[in-house]
Amino acid sequence: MHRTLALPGLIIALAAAAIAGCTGDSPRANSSAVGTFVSLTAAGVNIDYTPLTSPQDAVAKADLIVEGTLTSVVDGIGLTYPNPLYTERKANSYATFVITVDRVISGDPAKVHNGRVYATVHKSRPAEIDQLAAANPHPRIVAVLDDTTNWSPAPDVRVNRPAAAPSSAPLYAPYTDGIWLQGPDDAQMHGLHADPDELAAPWGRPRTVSQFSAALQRAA
Amino acid sequence: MPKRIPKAIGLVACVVTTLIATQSPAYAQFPNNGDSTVADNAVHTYCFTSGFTTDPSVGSYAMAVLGNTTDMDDLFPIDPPFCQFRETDVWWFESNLAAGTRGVRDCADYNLAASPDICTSSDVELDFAELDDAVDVDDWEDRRKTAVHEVGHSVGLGHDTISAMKSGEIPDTSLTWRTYSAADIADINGHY
Repeated sequence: MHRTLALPGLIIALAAAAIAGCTGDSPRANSSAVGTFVSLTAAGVNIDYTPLTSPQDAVAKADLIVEGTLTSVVDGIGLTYPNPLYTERKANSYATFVITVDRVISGDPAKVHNGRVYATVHKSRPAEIDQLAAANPHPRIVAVLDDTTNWSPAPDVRVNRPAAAPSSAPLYAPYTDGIWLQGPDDAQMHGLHADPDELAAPWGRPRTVSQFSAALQRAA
Repeated sequence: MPKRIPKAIGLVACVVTTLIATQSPAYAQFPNNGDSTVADNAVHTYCFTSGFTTDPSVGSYAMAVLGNTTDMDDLFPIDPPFCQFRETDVWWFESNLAAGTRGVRDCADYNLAASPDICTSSDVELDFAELDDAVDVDDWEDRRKTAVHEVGHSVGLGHDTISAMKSGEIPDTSLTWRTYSAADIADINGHY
């Protein structure tokens, strides 16, 4: 069923193929520095998530929403399970995005630690932190965040904080469709595990970090 | 002296090729999961970690969907099926995942020398609280949809909007959302 292209779809496909695939100017722009960085970070991790249904929903659910620059990528949290086999298996699963905050869109600005926010992201196992840090093109970033300072995946699992995060700094995790990155050469923003097309209609089809941020600012 | 192909002809050729590709039964990229990997063979073994206790039948259901609707086989590696062998294809975890996360498939081990790359073992984590915290009451179906979804990723499937590979909550209780599409089944059977 989904393979059948009606005439309008055919025309759109022709235009899209001509503009995108055939000119090498793909709208996904995964060949950009940010696209490459996102692919390196997210490969091998697939997430099924409950979408943020609107900017208002994001504002209501989030503990903090910020806009800024992805300044650095540092070690992520570690998980210690009662069973050492599980601990070994889960090693190298996370990275920490350090976001230098320009604007607090929603939430308590006091939760920003010395101008920075520390966000845990689920990363590709083969991607070493040094690789990610080197590949970081310091993109603009908007992040809809949940406070995970006291989070654990299970009652008997200990979370080891990343050494690079100051002990007094809260730790956050982004909603899957609430973290978007964009570099100066990108036509549109990139999600780690979501695509802009996945955003629900009430978002107004944002294609850039600025548009996504503006939608959130209107809702805040 | 080689003749240059006019740009317009090249563009048309490119468009035609694209359309042929998109009309072909095997047009969808496969593998199309986040790391473009496939499983190591047609026998997809699985195990439960010790915390996977809320509803282990969800894991068994998803593996049975794979085994019963495709040419692949699902198999417990041991009895009782507690995880201990790193190479077991799917390790099932029950976790409190990051906000809004229903389930995660995460490749834990790779064979990157193969072509296509092989994910020799995946972790599948389910957050039952998130799966059950929906606006409707289709928890039984929602749990199984996400389980089937993540197993699909572990054998190479990407997202779509017509099957269990749809993201998010199910729109209704139809079996459609707990099975793979005909195209995905063809891709699986074609590869394994």
